[in-house]
Amino acid sequence: MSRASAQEFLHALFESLDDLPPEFAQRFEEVLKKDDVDRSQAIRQLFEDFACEGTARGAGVPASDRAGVWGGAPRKYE
Amino acid sequence: MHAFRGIPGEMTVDFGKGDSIVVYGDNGTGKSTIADALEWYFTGEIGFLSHEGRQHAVRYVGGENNGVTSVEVFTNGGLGGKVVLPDERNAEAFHAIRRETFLLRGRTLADFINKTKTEKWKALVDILGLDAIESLREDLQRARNDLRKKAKAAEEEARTYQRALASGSQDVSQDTVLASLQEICRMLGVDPPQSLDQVEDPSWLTAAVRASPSVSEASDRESFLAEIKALSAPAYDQRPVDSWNELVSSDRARLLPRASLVREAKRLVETGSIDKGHCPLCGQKVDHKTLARRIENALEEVMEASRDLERFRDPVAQQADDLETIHDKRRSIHDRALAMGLELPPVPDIPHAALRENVDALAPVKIDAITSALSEVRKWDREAGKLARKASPSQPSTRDTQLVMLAALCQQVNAWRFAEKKAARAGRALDLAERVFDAYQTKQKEDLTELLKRISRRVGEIYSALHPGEDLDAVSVEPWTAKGVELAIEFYGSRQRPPHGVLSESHLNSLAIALFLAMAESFNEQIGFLLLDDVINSFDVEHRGRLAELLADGFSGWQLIVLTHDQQFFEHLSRRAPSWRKLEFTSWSYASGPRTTQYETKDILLNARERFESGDVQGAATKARRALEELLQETCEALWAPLPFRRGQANDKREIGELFKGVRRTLKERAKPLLDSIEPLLKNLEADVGATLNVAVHGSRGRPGTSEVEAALERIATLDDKWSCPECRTRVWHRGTPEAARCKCGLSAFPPART
Repeated sequence: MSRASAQEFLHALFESLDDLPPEFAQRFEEVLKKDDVDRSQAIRQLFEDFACEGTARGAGVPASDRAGVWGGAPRKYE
Repeated sequence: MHAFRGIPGEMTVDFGKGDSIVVYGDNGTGKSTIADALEWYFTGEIGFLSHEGRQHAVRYVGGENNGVTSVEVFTNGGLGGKVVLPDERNAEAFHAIRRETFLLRGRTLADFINKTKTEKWKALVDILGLDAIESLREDLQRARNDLRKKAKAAEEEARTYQRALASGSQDVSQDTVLASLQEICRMLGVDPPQSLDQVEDPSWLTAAVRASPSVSEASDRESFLAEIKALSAPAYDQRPVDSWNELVSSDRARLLPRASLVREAKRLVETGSIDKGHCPLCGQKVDHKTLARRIENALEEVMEASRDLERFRDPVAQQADDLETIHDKRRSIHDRALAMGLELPPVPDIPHAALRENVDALAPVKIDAITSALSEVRKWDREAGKLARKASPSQPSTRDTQLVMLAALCQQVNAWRFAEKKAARAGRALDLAERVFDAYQTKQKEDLTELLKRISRRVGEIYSALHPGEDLDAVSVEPWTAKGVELAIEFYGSRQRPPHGVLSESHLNSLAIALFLAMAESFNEQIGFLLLDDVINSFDVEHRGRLAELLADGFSGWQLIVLTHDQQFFEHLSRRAPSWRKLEFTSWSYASGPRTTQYETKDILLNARERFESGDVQGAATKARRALEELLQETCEALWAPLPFRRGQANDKREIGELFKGVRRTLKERAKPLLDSIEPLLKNLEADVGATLNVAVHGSRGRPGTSEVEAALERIATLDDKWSCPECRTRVWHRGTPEAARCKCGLSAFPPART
C-alpha cells in the first residue's frame, strides 16, 4: 500500500479472513458508508448481531435474530 | 503571481511543458516567492506565515488595499487554476493534495528528523493518509472495549445467579439444578420437570401445581370464600303478592271453593244423569234449561276467578321457592364455613313455609314478614362477606410455602439460564470483535512495516549516493511501539536510533533530503513536481555536487524546481542538466519587485496595451515606462554598452537616462547610420519619459493624455522591433558576440549591414 483508503484496507483485510460469518464483511462495509451514526456503536451492534446462535454454528444471521426484530431467533436446543 | 508576497505587480514564471528549472538568486531577490506561491496554491497556506498575525503577508506589502492578490497555475492536468486572496477554499479542497510530498525548504529541512517518535508517527499518518485507517482502528477498539465490558458484566451477572443457586460447595450446572428441582417437586407431590427448558415455560409450574390435590383444596377454599364474598339477596318484587292479597280478599275468592261443586253439577247435567226437573245440588224443583243456564253462569264466574287465582298464585309460589333457596344456600354456606373453621352468624329464618301455606289456603300473605326476613338475609350476607374477606387469603400451610418457594426457585433458575445465555452471546460478540480487531491491527502493522522497509531501502540508496564510501548506510525508518516511528542508521557497526548522536548537521540534512526524495517517490501521486528551496546551506562543495548529480541523473523523470542562492550549485546543476530551464533573480526593489535575467519587454508591453484598452491609461503609462526600461537594459547588456561604473549588483537600478546614453554611445561607435535613423525615435521616447510616462508628474499635474500614452506605446514597440528579426522574431544578438551578432535565422545582424 502507498495510500490505501480505509475501505480498501478493510476490504483486503476481510479477504484475508476466511472464517468470518457470511455477510459480515458486507454488513460492516455498509456501516462505514453511514455518516450520521456513532460508528463505534454501530460496529459494536454489528458484532452483537452476528453473535447469535445461528452465527455461532456458521449458519449466518437469520433475519429474525437481528437487533430490533421482534421475537428474536427461533430457539433450537441440542 | 499578482501582488503576491514580494511582487508588486505581476510576475510570470515559465516552466515550459513540465521542464525542470533551477532558479538562482541572492538572498532577498524574491526567488522563494515562487516556492511561496506554489505552496499557497497547493496547500492553502505558507508554512511559516500560518502563525497568528502573519497571514496578511501573503499580499504584497505595498499593494493597494483593494488590489487583487492572486496566484494562477497552469498545468497539463486538472490541478491548475487561480486562487485569489482571501482564499475561500475550505479544508476539503486540500484533503488529498495536502498529503502530497512536494516541497522541501532549507528552513524546515530537518523538521521531520527532529520530531519526536510520536510526532514522526503523526506526520507519517498524515502523509500516508493513515488517519482514516487509524480512525477506524480506534472505532474498532472502542467497540471491542465496550463488548469486553458488557461480556464481563454479563459473566458477573450469571455468576451472581449461579452463586445464589449454589448450596454449599456444590457445583452448579444445568444437570445439578435440574436434579434439585426434580427432587423438590417429588417431595411436594408435583410432577417433576424433564428439562430446564420445561421450567422456562411459565405454564409448566401453574399446571403442575394445579394438578396437586392439596392445591385443589386450597383452590376450593379460595373459591368458597369468593362465593361468600359474592353473596347477594335477590331484589324483592312486591307486586305479585299485592295482587294475590287483593284477589284473595275479594268476593270472587269466595266463589272459588264452589268451583268443584259447580263443575260436578255441570258434568251431571251434561251427562244427563240427574233427576230431571230437580237441582242436583239442593234437590229443589227446577226447569232443566234454567238449571243448565244457571250452572253455566255460575261456572263462568267461578272459572274467571279461578283463572285470576292461578295467574297470581304462580309468582307468589315462585317467591316462596326462591326464599327457600336463599335460605337453604346460606344454611349450606354456614355449615361449610363451619367445617373450614370459619364461624358465620346464624342464618335468619325466612317465612317461605308460611307463605306457601297462605297460598294453599288462599289466604293473604304478610308482606312485612317477607321484607323483614330479606332485610335480615342481606345483613347476614354482608356480615358473612366481611368474615370471608378477613379469612382470605387463607393462612398458608407449610406446603403452600414450599410451593411458593418452588416457584421462586424456578424463577431464579430461569434468570440464571437467561444470564448464562446473555453472557454466552456477549462472549461470542467479543470473540468476533477481538478476532477482527487483532487482524486489523496486525495487517496495519504489517502494511506499515512493509512500506517503511521500502522507504528505508530507498532512503539508504539516496543517502549512500550523497555520501559514498562513508560507511554510513543501512538507513531505515522503523516503527517504534504502536504509535511511534524513528530513524536509524548503521554507524560503524552499531545501530544508532535516532541518528542525531553520530551524524553532523550536514549529514542530518542529507538524511532529510534523502527521506524527502524517497517519500516523494511514494507519496507524490498527483502534483507531479518536486520543489527544493535552498536545501544545501550546510553542504560543502563536494556534497553540493553530488546532490546536483543525484537530482539531474536520479530524478530526471521528475519535474524539479530547485531554488538556490549558491552559485556553484546553480552552475553545477546547469552543467549537469543542460536541458533544465534556468532563471536568475538579480535584484528586488520595493517599486518593481524582483528582477530576473530574463527580459520581458514584450510581456510588459502587452500588459500595458491591455491596461490601455481597458481604460486604465495611468496604469498603461506606468507599464510602458517599465517596458522601455526593460528594453533599454536588455539592449545595453546585449551590446555591451559602456555605462558608468557601479559598485555591486546595482546595474539594473540605473536611471533610464543613463541607459539612453549607453545605447547612443554604442550605436555612435559601431552603427552610426542606425543611430541616425532612430535618433528621432529616441528623442521622442526621452520626451515621453519626461512627461507622458513620468509617474511623479502625473501625481501632481493630472492624468496622462490618452493619445500621448498610445503614441508612447507605439514608439516603444517600434524601438523593440529594431532589435528583432522581422523573419524569425529573435533578437539580432541571438548568436555570436556583442561585437558581431545575428538573429537565429541569420537575416538580421548587429552591427547591421544596412539600416
